[in-house]
Amino acid sequence: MTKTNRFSLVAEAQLDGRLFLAQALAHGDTFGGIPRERADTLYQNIAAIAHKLITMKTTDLSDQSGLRTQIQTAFTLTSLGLEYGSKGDLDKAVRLLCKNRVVKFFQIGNTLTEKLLDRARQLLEHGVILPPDRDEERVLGATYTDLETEGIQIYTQAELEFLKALLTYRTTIRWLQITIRDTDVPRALIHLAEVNVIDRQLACIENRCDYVKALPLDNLFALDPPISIFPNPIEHLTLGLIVNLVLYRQVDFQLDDDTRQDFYKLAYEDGEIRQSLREQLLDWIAQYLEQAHQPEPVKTYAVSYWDECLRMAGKKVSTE
Amino acid sequence: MNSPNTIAPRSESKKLLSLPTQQAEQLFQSYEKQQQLDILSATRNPKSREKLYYLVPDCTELIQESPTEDVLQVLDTMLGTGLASVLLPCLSNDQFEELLDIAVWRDGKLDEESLDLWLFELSECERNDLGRFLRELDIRLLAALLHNRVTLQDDHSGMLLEAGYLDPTSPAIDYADERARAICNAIWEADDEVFRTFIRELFAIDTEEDVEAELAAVFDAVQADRAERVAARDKEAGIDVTEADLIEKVDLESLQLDDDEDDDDKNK
Repeated sequence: MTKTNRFSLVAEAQLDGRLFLAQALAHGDTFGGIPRERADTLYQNIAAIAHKLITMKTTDLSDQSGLRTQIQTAFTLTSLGLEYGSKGDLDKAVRLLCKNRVVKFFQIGNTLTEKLLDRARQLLEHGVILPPDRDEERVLGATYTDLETEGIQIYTQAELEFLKALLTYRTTIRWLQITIRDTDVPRALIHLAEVNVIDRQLACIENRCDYVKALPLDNLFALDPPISIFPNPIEHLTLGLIVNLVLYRQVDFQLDDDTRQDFYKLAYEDGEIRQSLREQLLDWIAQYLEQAHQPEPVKTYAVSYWDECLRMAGKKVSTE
Repeated sequence: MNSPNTIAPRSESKKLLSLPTQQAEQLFQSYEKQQQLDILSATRNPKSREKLYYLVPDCTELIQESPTEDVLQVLDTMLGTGLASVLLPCLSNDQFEELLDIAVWRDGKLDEESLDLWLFELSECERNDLGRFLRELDIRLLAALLHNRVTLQDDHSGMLLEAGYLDPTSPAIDYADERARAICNAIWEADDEVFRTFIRELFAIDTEEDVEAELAAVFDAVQADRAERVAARDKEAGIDVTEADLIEKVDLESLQLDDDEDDDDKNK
């Protein structure tokens, strides 16, 4: 990015060449789509957005990483907005840059991501099953940490990191996963495609919340050992339900090692779940959610989630 | 004296910061003022920039010709320690006003915690300097901020005030905490007229029937004044983006963007 001393706090900032915005500017430069003067103005306007964002949001201007975050946010949101407005077409992006105020693209990017951030905040606040007597305290403003330690998280630890990263306009995933298992260190959002992946990933976690909350959870906090001690409590809960259905024909979540081993012996062959049993179980959860009046996306997700739980259990069988 | 074109500000900054203090002072003072400002501007680490300011006997001029955000960056490294009061007096009145317009507002709203922290720093300043800054400060805001922590005991406070009998030690004033008392003491010592104005504003708030509505009105008025000042400064700096622009959401379903080619297609 052209260095500018007009906005000293942004003077050292460089536009990441991977951003669609940088590619559009380079495209305009190469093919003469952006006159030199207009290009200078564009750089100044982009820097002005970053500068304003810093003075609006940053509590401590001496916090260099805080400044970097705001600069990155300004560039990222402007880039995402331009990519959205131009539908990823560089020629159109160049024309749009010449004809519109740059802040318009920031507003588009901000609107797009703010929706995702709101959903992430919702999940962090409500994606936890609290003991019955803790429900009232939630409204008193319990922190995420309180909820993590005192309730049963519906999102996994990797998903918690994903949700927290999203609040700073970063992501930890590269592709959609039923449960987030493969993660990266948090990195800035670069392309609109990542926003779409995040949108669908959030939907997965939201659907899992609806699925879990549709289960009969009355005795959840009476289970021994408590379900919250497991690294992935919802997977453990689901497997508990599956095992109880198969072995005892009852809806229960209690699961101990012996029962689990009995289930493995009965249900798995060479580490693979028996096909007929798999189908019965997936039908059962689909029907259960149908009766619980859950919408189609929740049913579809829950079926995939059960399938994944069975696959993960199969891996465990093979290891053991 | 060095010629204006012979220094590379960034490497010069590194050199200055690596030299023993006396040598660094000699070298820095040998530059013309514009060169000194260029070196300061190229030094992006605020702690390092602070060290450079101290290389001249009186850095008032350099501070006043530096961008306010750069000075605020340096002051932010000391905020809450009382040490910022060393550099604060170097600010011009306009700079001080601009500094507060940035430092105590978040997302266009007053950040009371930050304002409290800045008042503490100000109370550590020499009384003359404090008096100068207080005259730049919106006293309505100060009264609105402290109205829960500084309370006037009865209806006679107004009469006592007008008669000149009211000072921070008067039994008619109650303090919720020591910091509030220290701030009031500092205001009184710096400028008794400002103190009286402050008490008058407090009195005006307290005697309103609907205190919350009065406070909201004060904050709204202060917020509007600040927005006007920021807009004027931005205009002068060539910034055409406002805080409202950055908060504004758009309707993604019906985006209106100018694109000549699309317009041409529609016209065909």
